[in-house]
Amino acid sequence: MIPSSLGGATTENCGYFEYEAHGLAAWIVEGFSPGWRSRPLAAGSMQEVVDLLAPAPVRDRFVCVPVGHWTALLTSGPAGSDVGVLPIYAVRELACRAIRVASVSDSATFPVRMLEVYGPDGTPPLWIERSIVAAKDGARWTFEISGTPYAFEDQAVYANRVKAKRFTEEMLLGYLRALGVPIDGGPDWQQAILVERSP
Amino acid sequence: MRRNGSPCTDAALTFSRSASENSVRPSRTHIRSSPSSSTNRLSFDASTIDTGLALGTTVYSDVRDGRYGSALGHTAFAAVGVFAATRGIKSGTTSSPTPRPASPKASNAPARLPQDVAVNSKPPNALGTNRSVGRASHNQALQADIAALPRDAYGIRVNQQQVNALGQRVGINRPDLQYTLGGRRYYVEYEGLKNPRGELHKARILANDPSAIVRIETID
Repeated sequence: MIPSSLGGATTENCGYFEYEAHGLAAWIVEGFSPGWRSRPLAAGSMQEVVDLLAPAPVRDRFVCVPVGHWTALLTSGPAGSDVGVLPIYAVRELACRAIRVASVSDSATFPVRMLEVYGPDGTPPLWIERSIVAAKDGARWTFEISGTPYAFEDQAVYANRVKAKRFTEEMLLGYLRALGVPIDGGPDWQQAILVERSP
Repeated sequence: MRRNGSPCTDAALTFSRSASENSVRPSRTHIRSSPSSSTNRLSFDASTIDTGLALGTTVYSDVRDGRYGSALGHTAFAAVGVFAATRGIKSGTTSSPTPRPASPKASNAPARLPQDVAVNSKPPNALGTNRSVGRASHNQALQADIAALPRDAYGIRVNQQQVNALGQRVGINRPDLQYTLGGRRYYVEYEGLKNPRGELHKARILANDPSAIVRIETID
């Protein structure tokens, strides 16, 4: 299941796009070209993908992993997976919903739970429908929320005196399920597609 | 949109625009349902881009590869492209100039503040892109700028401690917007006409990341 700490920075952050994996990979190649290509990865495990996307000075590799009818997007880069502005482009060009998500446990130096949902119903120019973040940003915890609440949200928790408890990992995963992301089925690593800059 | 006449220096650009003037206005009508066609990928209304911007964008487009120019819709970005071209710096993603580590020996670089020198290089996670940087007009300009970034921009941080292109935290100052493009780190500071602190912020940012590009945007 992603996000998770199992793959370090590569799987602690990821994007979810409500779009078929091959189509998403082709869209990324088309948008980044010239010089980019895609190919089936046929990864045997998450670890293979994580090794392939080991943090690098520049973001030059993406892996599109089918998760039901959604696609999880993992990337290389100096800070692990980073989908950048692709969710905004996906809303504008693919008219699909895209989610930027992060989960780093409280035992880490900088824990975070982040859910940022982009979609056609969001507010331009960023097209964000909803953003919920609890994170230790430097020395202090911060809790930030914007957009219209979804019906499934437990808003009473947001008033917790302890900011770290206002948005827990369990809440994050529950919200992903409520948004229709079949995270419990797990990513289909065998069907993963690698998008990379041509050597 | 108008430039305020400030000189374009080695690593800093300054211009102003009105608060209500978004350089790019993506429209719901531009959403398309298939990724198959590239001809209408650049989904911005050309009527919202003034002549100067269009000219600058064209130049920048030449610098990159002709695909991102219209997506920028961003005067400063266009100017950065011109700057990059005149300096012989390749702005595309294929370039690999990474910011040099901040060093007091760098030419013309002001000294770093002790609290920035002392910072642990491990950065906090990047937070949401719709964070606030203060005034509503600044937030509006910020969001328009993020929406106009080329699709290969990443490492986006809003009002978070300074992180260089290598993902290293290099200061506890909080630039309004920072991102990486083509291996290079860009910073944007939004300032009010009556509270011009941008130059101070710029100096600190450059001290921490001498090879960065810093833009100060004055909002009416």
